[in-house]
Amino acid sequence: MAGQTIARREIVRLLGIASVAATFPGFRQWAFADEAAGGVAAGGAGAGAVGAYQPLFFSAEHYRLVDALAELILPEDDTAGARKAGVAEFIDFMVANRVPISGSGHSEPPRDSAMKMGSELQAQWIEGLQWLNARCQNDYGHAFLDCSAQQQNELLSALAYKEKFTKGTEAGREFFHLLRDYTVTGYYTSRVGLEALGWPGLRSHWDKPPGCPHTDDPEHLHLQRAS
Amino acid sequence: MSSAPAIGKARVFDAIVVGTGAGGGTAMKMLCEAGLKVLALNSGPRTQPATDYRMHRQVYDLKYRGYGDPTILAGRAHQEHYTVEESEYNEGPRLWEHDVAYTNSPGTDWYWKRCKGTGGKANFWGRSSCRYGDIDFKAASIDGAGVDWPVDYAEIAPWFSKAERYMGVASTVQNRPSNPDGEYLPPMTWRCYDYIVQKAAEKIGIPYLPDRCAQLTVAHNGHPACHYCGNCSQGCDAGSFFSPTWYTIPDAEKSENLSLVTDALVRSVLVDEHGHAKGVAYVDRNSHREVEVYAKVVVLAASCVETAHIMLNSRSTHWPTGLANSSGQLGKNLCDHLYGSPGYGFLPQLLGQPPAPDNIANSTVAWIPRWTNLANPHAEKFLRGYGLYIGGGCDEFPWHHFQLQGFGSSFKRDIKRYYPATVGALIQAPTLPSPHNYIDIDPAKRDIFGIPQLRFHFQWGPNELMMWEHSKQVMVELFKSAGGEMWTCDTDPNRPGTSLHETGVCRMGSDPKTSVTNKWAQTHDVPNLYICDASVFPGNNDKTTTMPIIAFAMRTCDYIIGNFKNGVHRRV
Repeated sequence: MAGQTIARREIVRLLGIASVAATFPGFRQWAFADEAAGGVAAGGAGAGAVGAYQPLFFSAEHYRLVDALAELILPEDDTAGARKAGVAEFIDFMVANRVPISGSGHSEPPRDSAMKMGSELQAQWIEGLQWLNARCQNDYGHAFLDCSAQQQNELLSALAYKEKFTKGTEAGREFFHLLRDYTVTGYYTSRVGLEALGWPGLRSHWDKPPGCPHTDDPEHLHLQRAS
Repeated sequence: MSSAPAIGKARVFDAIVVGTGAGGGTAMKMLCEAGLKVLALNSGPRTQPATDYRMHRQVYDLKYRGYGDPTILAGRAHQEHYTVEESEYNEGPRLWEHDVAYTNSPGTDWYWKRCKGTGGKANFWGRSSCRYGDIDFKAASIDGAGVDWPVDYAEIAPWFSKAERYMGVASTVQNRPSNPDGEYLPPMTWRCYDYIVQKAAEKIGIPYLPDRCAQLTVAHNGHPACHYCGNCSQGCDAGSFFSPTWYTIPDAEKSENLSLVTDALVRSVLVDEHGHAKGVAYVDRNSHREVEVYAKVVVLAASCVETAHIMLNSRSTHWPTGLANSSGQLGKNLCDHLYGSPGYGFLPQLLGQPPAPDNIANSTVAWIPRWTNLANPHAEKFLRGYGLYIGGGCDEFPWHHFQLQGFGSSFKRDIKRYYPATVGALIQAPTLPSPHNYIDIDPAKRDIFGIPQLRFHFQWGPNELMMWEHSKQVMVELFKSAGGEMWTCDTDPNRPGTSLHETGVCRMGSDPKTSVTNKWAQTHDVPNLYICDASVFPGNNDKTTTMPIIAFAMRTCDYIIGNFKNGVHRRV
């Protein structure tokens, strides 16, 4: 249990995980990457200061695929998309360091080594990306990135919507779940994403909580009628 | 920081206080302010808010975005649900115990989170601060389970007032027999969902009321009013809620009667030829050297089970089964709060509303206090009752994305649309004392300092599991009554220990044959050994432990000070 850290640290050392973190070159998009440049705002404001991101885990080809998939899941529309939030960098870094982004915020946390779970996740990522490309080759004659926008959308829809599920896509659906979890986590833990969401905690001083502005209608039925 | 320059010369203190958290910090303050020379021992380093706390950092300022360094505790340390604990904002072996091992017996899955920095977990606590009432103190007389406390409400009420006045607690007067009212600062402002849930609860006969929250809605006793950054669970940068770091420790230091030694892991209490306490032995974490220090009175406040651990490890010819254990009750009667989410869903009234600052107080703004078995103690299948904390609205992360299908712009819009509308519950259900739930010393294992390890034996019992099932049904009804939809709930409760509300392993009582301490938290067997933490609580209830720990510690310290004045204890 909690006291077994020394053994665990030993395992970690053997796995060489720590060395991955130690050689980490820094993010292009993340806030702390900009600290050296004077601590300017996050999320692209410092883009270019550190240079192009060098993937730690994915091949260049897979990295481009992850980046494209993330942008398809959370695209730029009236607010910034996954690319602007640096989601592909986030995914590469977390997968490389075997940090598990858990499958559900309401399931039990991992009882075994999170590191072990992180190692399994690395394999799932590679297999999942390979599955996507293989499926695209089979259905459309191209790798995912060479498919048309319509074909990409068709395939992802078949993995994302229950009513479009078919036999034979189980592995792809499982991977889509993983891909979406990482994408959502990467996006909504970035400044860009939290601004898009409107998280009020971005402000750290309030005289008092403003509280409910509708106290004349405690049940808030007028809001429901209005929406 | 104070040091203890005279320790090398075997200086004797009036009192040694072991632990500097809710109870120990209070004891330090009280005894120092009374003019006693106090040596306080803390198992870890000095907590430094400027470097150890969140200090308004955002999640994107963290290298691992809050998931933590995977090389620390193999990534497990901060993946528990409850936030009053280690996170990437304040992670690592500096403040949190990563070295001293404990054992779970087969079938036990106790989660023992320990903050070893000065102030302990009370630097990061949840701040819910209800008074216990006679319905709690006399529960055994009412329904037959467990034992009554040796203290009733009338007796402890003045110290509840003293604790509330010192800490500053925000709430309202509610006139509920199960929740005695106290002395309160203005309550926290209610959010949209509080009003909706309150109406829904009212329709099904359940109360929904402002919680008693030790958070400063106005400036209090020289501490500034809360600025609502929401960082509370990762440490307050301003001291706008009670914590030892901002309250009791500075007060004790101001007296100039305090010697505080950090990184001092107490191994045992030393006894003299009469079996009375004469000091303690601790291991210096840095040198691994064992040190002995001496005092006229020893106060243990090491955080409930750790207090019993020290006493069980203090065996001598006088106390062959552990210090002050002639009753055999030391380590027994371990109780906890069962935690878990019995319901999570959304309120359609709030879909698509602009994001609201629902969680900037990071607080239990309102709760559902116990409402069961009040008029008739056997009205339900289970005994007593539980509380529910309701949370929701715009939080730091949109966890509700798991409930939404799809991808693309429609998915992104849905995440934002549901953002203000989510609501979930946390149950706080007390366990009943059980002969199966206790701690002892692992006969086979020692920690890295050579100290025999603590071993937990604990299972949820039928009474608390019935409450857990009951609460899930209540949440179904509550969502229905609110016109909302319940998405899901936890399948199982959280691991035992998650609440950090363990009680009972040195229970107080009038009969020395069945209890470890008397009603003053003075051990029956060793008159100069006192306990100032929740280990003396004979039972648990629907309410939290911290404010009562402080109130009981204040009362015990008043008693100790009286005993120094009337000559029971002699000063150095």
